[in-house]
Amino acid sequence: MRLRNAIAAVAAGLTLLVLAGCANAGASPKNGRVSPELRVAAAATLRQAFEELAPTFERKNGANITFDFGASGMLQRQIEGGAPVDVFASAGAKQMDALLAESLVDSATVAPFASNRLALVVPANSTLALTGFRDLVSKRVVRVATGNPESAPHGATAFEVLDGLGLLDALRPKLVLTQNAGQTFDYVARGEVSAALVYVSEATGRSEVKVVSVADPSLHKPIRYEIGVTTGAPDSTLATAFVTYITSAEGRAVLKKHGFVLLQ
Amino acid sequence: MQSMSFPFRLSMQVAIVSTLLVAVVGTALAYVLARRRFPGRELLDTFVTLPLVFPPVVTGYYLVGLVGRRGVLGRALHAAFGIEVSVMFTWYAAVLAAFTISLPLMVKTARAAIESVDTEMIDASALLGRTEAETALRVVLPLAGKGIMAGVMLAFARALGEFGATVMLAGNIPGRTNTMPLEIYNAVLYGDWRRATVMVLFFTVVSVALLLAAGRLGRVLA
Repeated sequence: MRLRNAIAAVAAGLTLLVLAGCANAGASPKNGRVSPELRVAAAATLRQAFEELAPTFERKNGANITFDFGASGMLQRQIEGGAPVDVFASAGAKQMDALLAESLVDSATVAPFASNRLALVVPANSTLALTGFRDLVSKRVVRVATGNPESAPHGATAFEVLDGLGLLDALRPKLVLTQNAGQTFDYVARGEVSAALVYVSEATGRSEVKVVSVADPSLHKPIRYEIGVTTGAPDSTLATAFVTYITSAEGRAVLKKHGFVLLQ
Repeated sequence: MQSMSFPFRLSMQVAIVSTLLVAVVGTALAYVLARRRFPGRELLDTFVTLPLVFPPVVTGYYLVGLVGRRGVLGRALHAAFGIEVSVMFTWYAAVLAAFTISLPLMVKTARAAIESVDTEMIDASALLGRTEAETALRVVLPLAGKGIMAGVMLAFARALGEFGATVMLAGNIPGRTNTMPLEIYNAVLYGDWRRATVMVLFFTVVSVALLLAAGRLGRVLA
């Protein structure tokens, strides 16, 4: 009797495993048909824009997009480590160049598609009355969030700007370094920090924060968003179609709406 | 390889401070739970045990809701004294996280030890005229000493390895709040496996040693 129960339990367990495995396999059933899966790793700052663009692309191509948003540097290292990604969109040329050098991205598909500006942002209900970057050294400003420059491009830009303005040493003790732009935004939106340095697109259309000032572009290296298809992508046609879509007029319009600066 | 001395020193500092607090608060709580009867006793025990059962990030979530700028304490302090005090993103936050997470281990172990003290000894002490406080300090705690020490060691090991609540409360700020577990996470994330391995080996050795020592001191995990 006990042996039979054991066999039944094992059989049930194996069945569950097999079902789970089918569900997780590269394809997902939609209306009984199997849709191709497209895995896109994109900079955290692209979240709102890409999530708005995804449904149209999914409909037109019968595909299913899975996004992985995070700091460009972290995504780059994950791709280097073998993470399954079809399309990579980074907030910096540096990360894309690193992958190109390792032939992890198809150079024929790589295209710059947007730029951005660095903004000084405060919580919407902030009473600090800051007027510009230099006000950050004031004692009333307790903590300032920005990305870890080693992996988050907006942090690298912020460090460049602060250094250029001669404020970096004074502000270093106040800096709270985050993993990615989403976290930077979250900290300032919740008021855990007095202010944040993040790309202006992150603040566009978000009522929890307000922009105090935008950095002079001459203070930092140009911000270049680049997108490309990885060399390991199983369906490079679909992946290339996504890149084309992002760089199309429709893609550019949505990016502009979300505060990105378009490249000419 | 980048120096690991800061994460190491920070982890030690946080774990030691946290464990000192846990030793005092935990022993007091354990004594009260073991030796006193009062309404809501088991409710208190449940409450103290929660961080043991919760995923650490859930404990972290609640702690942020407590000490975050818009949290319960944050808002109360601001309303009462007009001050904006926040421990978030400081090593105090790491201590708070480690304290909350390791307290239940201490309380459970110490309570068991105190409950196992021969009540005849306690009664004898009372008969001889000692107050409860004197009895507690001179008779109960020394007799439960080994179990309490075991609890302290377990709490220290747990505090050293705390990650989920720490990352939510203190953030993962290089040079400020990147404790060793966070640094291991960073190393793996950035593909620096050698760095990660060195730190993991350190943790393995320390944790095994502490566990063996705690086990020797009492029937802790029976």
